[in-house]
Amino acid sequence: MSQEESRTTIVLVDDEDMVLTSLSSFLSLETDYHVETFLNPEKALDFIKDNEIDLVLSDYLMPEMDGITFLGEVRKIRPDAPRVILTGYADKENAIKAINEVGLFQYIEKPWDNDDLLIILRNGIERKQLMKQLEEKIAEINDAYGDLQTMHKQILKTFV
Amino acid sequence: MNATGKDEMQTLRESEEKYRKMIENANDAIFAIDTETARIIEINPKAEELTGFPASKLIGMNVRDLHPADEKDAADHLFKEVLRKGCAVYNDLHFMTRSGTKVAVDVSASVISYGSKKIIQRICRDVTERRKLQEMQEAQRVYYEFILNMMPVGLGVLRDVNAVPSVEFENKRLKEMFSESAEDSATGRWYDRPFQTGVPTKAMIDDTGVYAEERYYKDGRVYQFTLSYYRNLEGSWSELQLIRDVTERRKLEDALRAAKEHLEQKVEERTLELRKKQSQLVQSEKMAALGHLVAGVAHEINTPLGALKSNNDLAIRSLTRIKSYLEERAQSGLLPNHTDIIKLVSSVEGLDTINKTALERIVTIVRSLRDFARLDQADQDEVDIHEGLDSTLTLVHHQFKNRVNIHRDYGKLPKVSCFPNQLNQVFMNILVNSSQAIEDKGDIFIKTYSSADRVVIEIRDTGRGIPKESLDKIFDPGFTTKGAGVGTGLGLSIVYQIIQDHRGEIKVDSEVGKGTTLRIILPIR
Repeated sequence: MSQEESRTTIVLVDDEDMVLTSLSSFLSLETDYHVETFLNPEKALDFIKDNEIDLVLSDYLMPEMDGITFLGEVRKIRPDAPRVILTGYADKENAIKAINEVGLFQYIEKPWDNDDLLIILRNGIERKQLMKQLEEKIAEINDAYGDLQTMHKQILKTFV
Repeated sequence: MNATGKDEMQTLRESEEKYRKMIENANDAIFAIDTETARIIEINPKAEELTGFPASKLIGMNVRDLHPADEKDAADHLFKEVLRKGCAVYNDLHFMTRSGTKVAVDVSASVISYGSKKIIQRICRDVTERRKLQEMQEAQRVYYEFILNMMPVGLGVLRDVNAVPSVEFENKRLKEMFSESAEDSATGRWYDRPFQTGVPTKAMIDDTGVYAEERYYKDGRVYQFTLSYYRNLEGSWSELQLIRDVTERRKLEDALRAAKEHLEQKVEERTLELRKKQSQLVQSEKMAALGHLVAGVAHEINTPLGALKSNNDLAIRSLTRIKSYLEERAQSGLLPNHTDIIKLVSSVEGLDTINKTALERIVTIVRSLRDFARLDQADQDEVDIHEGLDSTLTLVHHQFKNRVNIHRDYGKLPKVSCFPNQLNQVFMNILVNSSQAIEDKGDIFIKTYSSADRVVIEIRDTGRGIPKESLDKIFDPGFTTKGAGVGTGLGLSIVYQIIQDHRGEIKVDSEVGKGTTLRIILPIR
């Protein structure tokens, strides 16, 4: 809804069209996020390579590639993008195991609650943005420190 | 008188002549000995031959001097005995011949009248050869007896078995056998000691005449008798008995038989155990398969369910916005004929409550299904018994619907360390049984309570009950009262096994026509 949101890109991956449609409809109703949906994880990876993204939500069981492998690939390309997995019951255990492996931000169980889902997505995005801001600040500090160092050297040069 | 006396003298002389000739020609040595001095008065030629001494030497010799030094006493004894009794026979004496050899003699002595005088007549026979033969025979007999005594088998001969039996022979072993157990219970000898049972092992056979049987005595010993009969030299019947002590062998055989029986029993027990385990395994495999199926189904249902739930939510959110938009518009008078539209929207909103309930019910069923299978908790865990009962009740709900009322009386239970999916199966089996026991309408009461170290789950139904004679069989595998095809007969045996595995107890109380109560008692830890 905010300007911030409209510049935010969320990638949804599920081999079930009905899930993609439900989720994207909900998000378009409740948020201003830019939502990209993919039935095929490979296609999603292609997109992620070429575009800046803010969060990836993926199904676990998919015929081409399972959600954990897919999110592992996403991590390689966009390590700062929070990754959320959507699981049915059968794969819950594996999903939990994989949280550490691929650094999942959260997992959501089907059938999900829309409000809960939204909170998780917002938290993930906020976290990403905070991390980004933190990095920028650190960079700024580093730059300032670098300048300080240079100045310090110049001062030394001048006076010694 | 004289003439007659002359005749008598004549006859006497003639008979004396005859007698002398007889003596002279006799094959035995004959000595006439003085009753006073024991000296030889007269001899026959055979006496010279036997002793080797000429008549001149013999006559006048004291008869004891003919015997070797060690028989002097015997000779004196013989002399006195003859005088005392009139006659005597000694068959164990010897003469020392002139050449110094020892000759065995049988001596028969008697006092006879010789005219007016009394003398001792000794008839001596050379029995050296016969004695030697006898000694040889005796040695042989001793040897054979030795062999018979050496035999490790009791051997005895009874003679006159057809009349008054008497023992002719018994060997050493036989005597030992019947003396070592000479307790009061074992009186009687080998051939007449009373025995408890006799088991014939070989029937009497005409051509061999052998009969064998085993006799069991009161003192626990078992002897095997082999009896054979033969006609002895006197023509009466003798019985040869061979007796073996087979006590140890029988004991071994008994032990072996007992061991075999024990083994068979063990095998049977193990087989039963194995069969139980197998049925349990089959059942738990079924459960595992069901668990996988349930997990798969849950997964498959959850995806469309997720979409449905989300879409329903989405539709209502949209409707709510439409409604408020319409209301805003209506308030500002921009929408003249709005009440019908708002009514329509409201009715759809009303449906949402039903949709939500319906969806929640599906979610609960799916969750119960997977909780029941508890694939994620196949291992021992701290479990809330009430959760297990509730998810099981949800699953068997269709069995009760409008027919059976469930009454829950849950106490405060601590978490119990157990295998949750196994325990759920226990609840399922019992609840299904209970509902099947209720023919028309009835109630099931579930009560839980706990003590310091155990929890109790009581499931009581108002069904038809179990007859007394079946009560102790209901946990046996294969026992079923349901018709063919209705039950496997494994349900309660699996229940029993699972409770056993949890070191718990299951008790049953039942009254025909009133109902059944099953009480599960589980240790908390």
